[in-house]
Amino acid sequence: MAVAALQPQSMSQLQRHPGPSGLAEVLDVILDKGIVIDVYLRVALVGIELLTVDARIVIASVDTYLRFAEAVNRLDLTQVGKQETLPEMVGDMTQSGAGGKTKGILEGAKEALFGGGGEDEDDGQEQSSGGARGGGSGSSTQRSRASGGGSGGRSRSGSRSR
Amino acid sequence: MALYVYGIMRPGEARRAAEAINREARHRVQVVEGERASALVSPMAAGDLRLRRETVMAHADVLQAAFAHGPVLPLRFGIVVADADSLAREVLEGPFQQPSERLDTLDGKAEMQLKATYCEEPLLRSILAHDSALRRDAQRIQKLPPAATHFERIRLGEAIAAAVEVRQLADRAALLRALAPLAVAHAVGRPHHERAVANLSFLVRRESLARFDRAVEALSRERADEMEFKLIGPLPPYSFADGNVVLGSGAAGASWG
Repeated sequence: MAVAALQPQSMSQLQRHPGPSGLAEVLDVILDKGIVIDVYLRVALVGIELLTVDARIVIASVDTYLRFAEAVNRLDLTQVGKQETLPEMVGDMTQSGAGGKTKGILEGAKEALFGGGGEDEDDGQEQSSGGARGGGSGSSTQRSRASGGGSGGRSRSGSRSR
Repeated sequence: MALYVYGIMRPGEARRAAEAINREARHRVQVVEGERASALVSPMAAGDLRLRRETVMAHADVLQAAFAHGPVLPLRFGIVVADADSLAREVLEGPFQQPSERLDTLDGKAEMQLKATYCEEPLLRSILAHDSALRRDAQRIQKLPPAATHFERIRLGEAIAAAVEVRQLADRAALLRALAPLAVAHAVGRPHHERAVANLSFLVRRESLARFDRAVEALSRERADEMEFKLIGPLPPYSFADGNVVLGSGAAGASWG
């Protein structure tokens, strides 16, 4: 991490596509977007509905939780606690020191996570679950604003029309 | 005859778009003309108002091809009207507020959709590195057989999902801070993945597209250790057609209204 922070010209992980390709991506690009007019007829979606749900609704579920846990299980955790905490802090300082655009991001995350700045890690983790919950509700607020233009179909509610 | 409606364009551009699309024989489209706005449509067989996989692809294809000929107001996928008369009367000339003005507003602007996704391992490592309680839980669970720790695993995963959400808030805000000033407007979409950082749409002036692309490239380099980015576009302004958008912070002097 620290090494990468000192070498900002690392490989980027950017894919560019001039347009959507494949059904799932097209659905993702066009669904719930665009003008709705009043006079439209009722139509039937053939074989699209299920796919639609698959493609676009991301629900935090037990499946998600188990996937995260499974992924954690594959990590070498002896490496995580001892060696990553320090380099990561060094990385933070390097980035803010360089006046990079990432300044404030990690601080912001910490503040949200630990419910306030300035605490070190071990003090902060007592509050982490409360802070995380607060952050969670904040994010659903954002989401509802995001889908405000549409007729509904928010990710959590899974509602859809037609 | 029932018509599937793709989108609305200015009359001359709609005609040219339809000619080009039909010439390339990808899809058969027709134009329903209004005085100041026209619609691109395809006839649907009577009694068979069903939308299939092909309709989804055609919707995106037609709008994308039309977009090369001028500004387009995409209609929401799946809109079918009874006939050309009612479309002209009630939409192109009717209560729908000035489609031609919106088209003028959207002229020269395209939508860029950016999806940022956390890379799994760096994300989990970072979350665990910042939370010693989670780390201890994870280490303990790792030593036990899966069957004995099913519910603990669910709780661990839930705590991680909560930590991911906290990160999303901060990181999404950071991406917006970097990119919104380069756009006329932006919209925040639903998370596209359980490790989504953000699913963002930006309305960008054509002359700013290269600059926007460079900014995304710079972000993706800066965050290469932790995130993957997918940038789709230039697209017709799917997310900005209905005017219900969040103005970009760099929108000073923008004609969006």
